[in-house]
Amino acid sequence: MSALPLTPLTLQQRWSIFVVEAQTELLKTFRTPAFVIPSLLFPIMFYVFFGLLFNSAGSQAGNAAKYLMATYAVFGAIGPALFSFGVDVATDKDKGILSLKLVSPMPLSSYFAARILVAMIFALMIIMSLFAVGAIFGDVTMTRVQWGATLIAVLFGTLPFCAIGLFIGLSVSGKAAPAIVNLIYLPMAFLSGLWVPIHLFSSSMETLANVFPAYHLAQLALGIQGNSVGTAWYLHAAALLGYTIIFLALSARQFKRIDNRR
Amino acid sequence: MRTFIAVLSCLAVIALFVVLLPTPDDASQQQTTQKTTSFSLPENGRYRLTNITLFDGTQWQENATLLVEAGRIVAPDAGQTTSDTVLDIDGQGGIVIPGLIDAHTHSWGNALDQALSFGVTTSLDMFTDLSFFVSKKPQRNNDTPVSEGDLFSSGILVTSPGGHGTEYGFTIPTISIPDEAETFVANRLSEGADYIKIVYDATAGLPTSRSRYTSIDYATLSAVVQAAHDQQALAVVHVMDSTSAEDAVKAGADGLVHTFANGPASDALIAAMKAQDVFVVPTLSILASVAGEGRGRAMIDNSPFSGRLPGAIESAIDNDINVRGLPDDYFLTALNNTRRMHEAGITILAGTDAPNQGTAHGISLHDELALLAESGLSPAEALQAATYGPFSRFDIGERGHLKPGAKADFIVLDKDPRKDIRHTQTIRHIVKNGAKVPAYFERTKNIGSTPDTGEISNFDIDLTPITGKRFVTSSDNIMGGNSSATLQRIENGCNGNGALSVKGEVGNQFPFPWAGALLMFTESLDNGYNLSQFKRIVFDARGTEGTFRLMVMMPGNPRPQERNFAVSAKCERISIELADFTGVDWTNITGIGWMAGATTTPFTLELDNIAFE
Repeated sequence: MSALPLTPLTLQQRWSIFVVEAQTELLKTFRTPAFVIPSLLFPIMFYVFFGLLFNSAGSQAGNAAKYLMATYAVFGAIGPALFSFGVDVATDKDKGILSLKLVSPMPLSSYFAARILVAMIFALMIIMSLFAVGAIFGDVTMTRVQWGATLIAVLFGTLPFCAIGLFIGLSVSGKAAPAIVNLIYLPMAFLSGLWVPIHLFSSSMETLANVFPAYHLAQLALGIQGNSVGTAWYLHAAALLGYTIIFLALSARQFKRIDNRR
Repeated sequence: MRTFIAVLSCLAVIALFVVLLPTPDDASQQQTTQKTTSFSLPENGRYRLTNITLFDGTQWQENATLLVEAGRIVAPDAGQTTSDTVLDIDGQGGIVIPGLIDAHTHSWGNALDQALSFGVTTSLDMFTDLSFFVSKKPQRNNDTPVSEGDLFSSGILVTSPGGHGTEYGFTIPTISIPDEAETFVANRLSEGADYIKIVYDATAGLPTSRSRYTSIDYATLSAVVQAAHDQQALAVVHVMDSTSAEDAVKAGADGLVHTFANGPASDALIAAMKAQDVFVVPTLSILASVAGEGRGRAMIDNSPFSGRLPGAIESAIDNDINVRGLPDDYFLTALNNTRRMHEAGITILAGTDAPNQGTAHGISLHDELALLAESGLSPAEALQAATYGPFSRFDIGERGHLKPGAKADFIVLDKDPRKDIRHTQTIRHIVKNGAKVPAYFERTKNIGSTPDTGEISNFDIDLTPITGKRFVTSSDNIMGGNSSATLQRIENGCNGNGALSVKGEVGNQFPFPWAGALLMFTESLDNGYNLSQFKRIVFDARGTEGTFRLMVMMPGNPRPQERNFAVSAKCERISIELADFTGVDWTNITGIGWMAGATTTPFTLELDNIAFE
């Protein structure tokens, strides 16, 4: 039996594969309304409860709404990243889909890039709806640069959480994944000051928040509107980059282990 | 290709979305700056301000005009003025309100200048140094341009020996028995007092009292009020609790110059105040500082003042008194007492008690108005509490309104305070005696000269500093305290050569004692050095074991900022980060002091190798 000639894929081919993969991934996700609807509604609901109702009680119109709009955008955006990678990769791994993809001629990078794209599209939808709610009902005003920068920062800030999700997905079974993701996602969100402003915490809890990537992303987003605790933005960006690298490295190790097993 | 177009259109939609999001009103802000530059009033002081919304103290008028001549408002149909001789000034749709009146201040130094820069054109002082009052009193009769607000004052207050008011380091006459009342009041009035202010505390001396002061008794209070009335003077009373308030009203006082927060006002008190038409100046600003409400911080962070305040004012309003152990509802009680008095129809006047800790002249009155609105006054009523209210209760001439004959003291605002009383903070222009005066944000910032080097001295030769003028002793004996200090150069400093030795004692007669060495940067206390390029101050120290304080003096701010440092019998290099000081504007520092603390008396302190780095 003669081996197929191994010609490397052209850029054009890689792009088409990625587009097909992204389209199917998107289609698959949107055919799961049980995932879509809670992911989109949860942050908005929380924001309306805590951001807007709190805000109407406070005396400085628009300020709490602005602050919490940023933190709930972070909360909303990292959810799909963690779940899309954590839960879906674990399920794909269990069902053997991951192995199937591995033996197919498709480059594995397309699989991950498509997932990242889906997570980001979700993040984008959540951020935009929070912006709309904040602007219409919370009297939030920011300069165009601030609005744009917040959107971009939170959008790309989902990358470390994709990496964390990937590591979880590769490490645990599909059954355990949702529980594990929630166990990390919700406490981290609270302790990073995504639900309640960080300065209401005791100083030791404020210090503790530094270990969470969500805290750094929130501070990055708050820094844009001038509401961060004061640490330089590049330190937060560096922390997020560090988390991405660490979890990508851990995932790579974990990935080899699955590879050997199957 | 299709995907590419899809992606591109998605990005376009997102971009459109971002563009549609609301932005702060930057367009109107730019407009305002343009307006500021084009607004100039003629030097002859005769003009007609058009295109304004006018509040004349009692009534609002849209599309109004205001005719000003020689520092006064004149009637539009006054015969001597014809339209071709009067210059029309476009008010650009601004809201014009009378210059504000703060009905409770203590004024000295640059108080009146600072008050005016926030649109407070008249201050009703409730006790100050007589020499300050006497020097400032004549200019209130001027109708020509001035650079300070007008001052009315009670001069020296009426208190008992050892009572509140005697603790400020200068000796004042006191009263002990009712028989002295007539002469006492006559003396105040002959000194120039505009009204009589009495300090009264019915609880003084009771075992439950937490006060360290004595007080005049009820009989004396009553006699002083009577004497004031006999001599046609208003008698206002400082009270801090409900019993004292009831006594003051019973004694016939015309007004209370604080509300109280020790408990709810009784119905009987409110009924009596209503029946006798007693007014109240609640001074919620100072009570908010006592309760640690953080009002100053909120103004620094989130108000039209944000980012435009001089450092000295920020540091003054940023440090609440914040008394520990007060009931949680302390401040709420003060608000509720004010609310109930207002609802009963009692006249409420706006006053701040500035510059007591947590408040500052001028700016705090704007916050007082917001607090009055929180106690249930409508924005228009709150505005009256600082304009027509004081005019109708105090004998202060035609101030506090803008009807013909009044002083042309007014503020042009950007936004309508009827919608939100905090719009008084949107100051566009301030006009005093018909002439525009610079508002706080139009003042040029005074930056000190930059020293050539950060090195102060290693005292190897003598005590003359390389940077700065000279070292002097400084202690509270200038304020009547009994602390003392002496300076001397010694040969055996920390590294074997010369050092500065400070010896002294910290006394107990002044409430905030200090003693030590002060490095003066210039001879005047109005201008100093720009030290903003330095990060820290370092020096070697040894001396009496304990905590000492490094003090930083700023021009225009009577309260130095300080940081503690520990000293032991062994030479140690001490480094204090300049960033650790709160509320210090390092661009203008008049002096640095090394002061003993209360626990280190008598003390010695050796300083060497001082430098800014």
